[in-house]
Amino acid sequence: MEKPVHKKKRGISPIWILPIVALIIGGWLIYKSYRDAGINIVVHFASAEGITPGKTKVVYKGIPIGIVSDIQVDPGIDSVSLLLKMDRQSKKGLVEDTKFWVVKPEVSAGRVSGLDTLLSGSYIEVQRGTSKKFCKLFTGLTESPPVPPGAPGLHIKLTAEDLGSIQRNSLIYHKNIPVGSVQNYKLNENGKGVTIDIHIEEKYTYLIKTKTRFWNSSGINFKGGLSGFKIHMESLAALIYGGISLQTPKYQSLSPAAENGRIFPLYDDFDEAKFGLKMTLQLPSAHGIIAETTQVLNRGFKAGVVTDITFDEDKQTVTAHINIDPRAESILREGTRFWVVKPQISVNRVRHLDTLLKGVYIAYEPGDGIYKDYFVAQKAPIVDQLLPAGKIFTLRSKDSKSFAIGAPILYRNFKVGEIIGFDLDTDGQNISSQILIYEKYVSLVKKNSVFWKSGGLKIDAGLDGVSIESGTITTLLTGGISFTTPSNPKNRESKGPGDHSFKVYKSFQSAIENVPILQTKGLQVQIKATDAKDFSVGSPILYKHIEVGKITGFALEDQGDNVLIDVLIKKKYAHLLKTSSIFHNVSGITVTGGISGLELKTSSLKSILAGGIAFFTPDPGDAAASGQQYILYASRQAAQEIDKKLITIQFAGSQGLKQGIKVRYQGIAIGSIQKVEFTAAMDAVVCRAMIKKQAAKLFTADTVVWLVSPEVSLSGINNLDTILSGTYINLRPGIGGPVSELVALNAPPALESTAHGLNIVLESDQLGSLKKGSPLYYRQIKIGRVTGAQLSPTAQKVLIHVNIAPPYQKLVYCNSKFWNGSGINVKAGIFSGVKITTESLEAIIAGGLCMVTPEGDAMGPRALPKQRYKLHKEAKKGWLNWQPALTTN
Amino acid sequence: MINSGVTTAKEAGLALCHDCHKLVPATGKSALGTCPRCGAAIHLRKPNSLNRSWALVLAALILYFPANFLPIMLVDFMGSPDLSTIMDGIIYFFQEGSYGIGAVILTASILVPCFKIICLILILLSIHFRWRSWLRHKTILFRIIEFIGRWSMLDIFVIALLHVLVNFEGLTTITAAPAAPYFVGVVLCTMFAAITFDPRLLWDA
Repeated sequence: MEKPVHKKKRGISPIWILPIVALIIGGWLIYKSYRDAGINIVVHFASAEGITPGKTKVVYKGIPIGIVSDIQVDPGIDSVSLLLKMDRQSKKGLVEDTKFWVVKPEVSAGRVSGLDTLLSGSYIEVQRGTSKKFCKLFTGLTESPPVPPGAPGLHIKLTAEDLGSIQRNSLIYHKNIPVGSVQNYKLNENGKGVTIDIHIEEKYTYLIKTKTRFWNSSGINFKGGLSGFKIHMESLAALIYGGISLQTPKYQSLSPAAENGRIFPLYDDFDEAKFGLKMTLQLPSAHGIIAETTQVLNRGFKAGVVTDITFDEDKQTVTAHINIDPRAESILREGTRFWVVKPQISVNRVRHLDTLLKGVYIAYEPGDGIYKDYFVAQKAPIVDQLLPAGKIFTLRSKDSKSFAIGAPILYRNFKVGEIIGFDLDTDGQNISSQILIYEKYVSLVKKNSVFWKSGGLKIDAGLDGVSIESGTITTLLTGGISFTTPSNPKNRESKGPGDHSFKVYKSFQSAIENVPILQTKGLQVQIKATDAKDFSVGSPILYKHIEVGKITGFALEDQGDNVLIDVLIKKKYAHLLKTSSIFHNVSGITVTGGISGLELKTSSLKSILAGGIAFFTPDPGDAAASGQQYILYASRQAAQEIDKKLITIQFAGSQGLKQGIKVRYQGIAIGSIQKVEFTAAMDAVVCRAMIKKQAAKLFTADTVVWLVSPEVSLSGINNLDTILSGTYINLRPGIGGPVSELVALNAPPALESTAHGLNIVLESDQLGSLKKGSPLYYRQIKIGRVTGAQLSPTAQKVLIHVNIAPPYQKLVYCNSKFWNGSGINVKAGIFSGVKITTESLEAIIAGGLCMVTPEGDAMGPRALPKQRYKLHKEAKKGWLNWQPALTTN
Repeated sequence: MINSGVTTAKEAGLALCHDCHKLVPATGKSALGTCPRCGAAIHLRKPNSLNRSWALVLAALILYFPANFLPIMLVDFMGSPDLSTIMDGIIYFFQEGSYGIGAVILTASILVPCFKIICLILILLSIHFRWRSWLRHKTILFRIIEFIGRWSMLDIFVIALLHVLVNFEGLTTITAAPAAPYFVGVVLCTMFAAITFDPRLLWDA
């Protein structure tokens, strides 16, 4: 037996690399954990709210640099000590004046801060100190510390009388954008005023110039008086937390940038910040002048504001102290004149109406000269308003009513000039007035221009009706003169200023009557009416409520007692009038009412007052010729009823019956009830219905008529439309000769007649939840519905009438099977789960039928109308597998 | 050599192919060549078994510490990361009252690797110092180690599964933390140590 060869291995197996690698990794991990081992420090906080040991992080500039390892209550039990395990790299930052504070989510009107902590939990923020001395024991702050003086940005100080509602972290706003915040504040050493340290963010430092003004924008600044009130408010946050706004006046925007530590005054409010140049104005009286409100205005520009009023020593005058906007510095000159502007209201003149609302103001006229800041007010305005450029014309009129200096001259209700003066003519017969037409509009005035007074609200009332006319609101108040220039190609010449005088008519109406060129031309027709009591000359002719013409005159018919009304249809509307047009009276107000609604019919305001005639064109016809004669109907209804037929319908009860309810066929109104009255025997109600002529043939001897009113029941709401539209009378037409008297059914007919589709009858023992309208499904598609149910003649069965919709009637064959698909079929099993079968949601509530047709020859011939089927309780096995190929068309 | 009253294959001049388990003569021309059936190299004992086993066991032992002391799983819930070591997880389950799951994880992740390492060291030491007692028990011990080796990956499977299942970006994510590769290293090392170890050496010693 040979000895097996023994090979001695020399050296170290390479497998030993593995533990060596493991050792290296282990060693490295140990080294790393030593290197990264935290520095344990202790921070005292008043409360450890929101802090979780092992979770809460210590964050420096957003980077976690440590973790809270433990919380201990201090021996005094009035504070807690947090044991923080800080990263080794943070060692340098752990110096004496390093600050710690807890960041919690804060969502409030002014600030959303620490939002990240909502999810991640509170954390402890660190602000590195500047000291070099290492420290392991700290005291936490209750809130974030002020920005350190060395931080980027601008650190400036504000001095104020008092702090107001400013607090630490109140924001500094510029144009409502926060640009910095209040860092600290302290009472000045002498006890007078406070100094507020503010920090402006680095990116906004350019906003701060040496001349920048700061004002307290906390709260709402409300200033009021007779001359109005003023509310000034910065952001809502500033309202709650207080805030400081800043702005550099435009004219000082080039002032040098502010440096760190600069001290600015903090003004109390916006107005004070605009503190300008001081001047005084001596006034005869302070009437109407309110300190801090009365303004110095020139041409709408606010040059200053009265800050104070003092009583002069001589007790004769008062002195107004005015702050002038530095931009308006140029008015402080020797020659400048000031005066007080007050409202002036007189019979024919309203001046400075604006001061009524705005209050008294001080106006000035700048002058030249050397600088001066003491002025004496003039007692009255020095000059009147200058007249704008334009041409002056003369108007003649019988009286000066509605004339006033300054009253407008209107062209198409647009002010193109004004009255500058008027006077009685030398002969005492006429008033001539001078009007100024502004340069721009001079070309509108021509030799043939017609002027009339448009002042005020003009109501001309008389036998011939009432005419109401008003111009613009201004003319309503101050009066005015309107004019128009008829287009006349022959006379284009514009007259020079003042060399042509125009007559002023007392109204537009009289201008039209007297100036033929203004009278419109149109189509002249005649309307025959029984009397003309509602109308007057000038009454409007309306078409779709638009005035298209007017009555021009009346005449009696040669023989007979009719009145012929002459009507002028305006030219541009003449095409609307056809030979078939029907005219009717729209005078006054027509009210027709009942429970089914109140109908108030009026045409225009004018037609109410002055009467009016409207027309409509039922069928297009030939255009009407001039002189055409029409008949006037008493009302539109009467006009429409000329082609209607009267049908009387007798009802056993009268519930819901009233005048005006509609007669509908297939949902379309074909007429309405005109009158409801009792029969002679007083046992029934007879309705007189006016039916459209073309629909009258629906009423035959066997026509069925019934009243449809809303029905609300568990299984559904029927005739929902009638809740809004009111009840109506429905009908099912019959065959036979037309009749004009019918007796209505008390209830809708049990069997609904359906003219279209296939009607079949199902026999069932019980009706189940089926009802009229219950659907019939074929493969869950609705192909028909139940039209009614009745007992069989022997009362052994229920006969269910079903109507198959026309497109589906070819699905039904003699051997088609029907079953009741109402309700829900619930099958439950341990393994199969729950199976709920229903044909449709509708079938659950309203019941439903299902149908299948066998395949091939088994289906039998086509179903015939009135064919009878048995209604099965449920589908038999196999029925649902039938797949007959049927065409529906 | 001990005489256990059993004639070993080695004594009979036979060697077992480690791959197809064919008994081939260990002497003569074919001595320790290749297996005539499957072509695998024939050894009387697994080559270098003791050396390799020692190396692997020691590696496992070293890796066992970072595997258990470093966090193995990172649960990121709504942006707040939460690292947990294996022991944290076990304590969590026990605190929650899920003693069964806690026990399973404790067994699979801490006890079993620990047990395997201790047992392998014990067996290797017994060969090294020729402790001839309890040989049968030591063999049974080794069989158990071989059997349970495959279950030690349970923890890693759990983390891998959770990583895939709980991955709602931004809401909650679970990822493996630094300890996971060390843990894999422990399990792999112990498994390979069990594979490379030839239990016959127990009797040879």
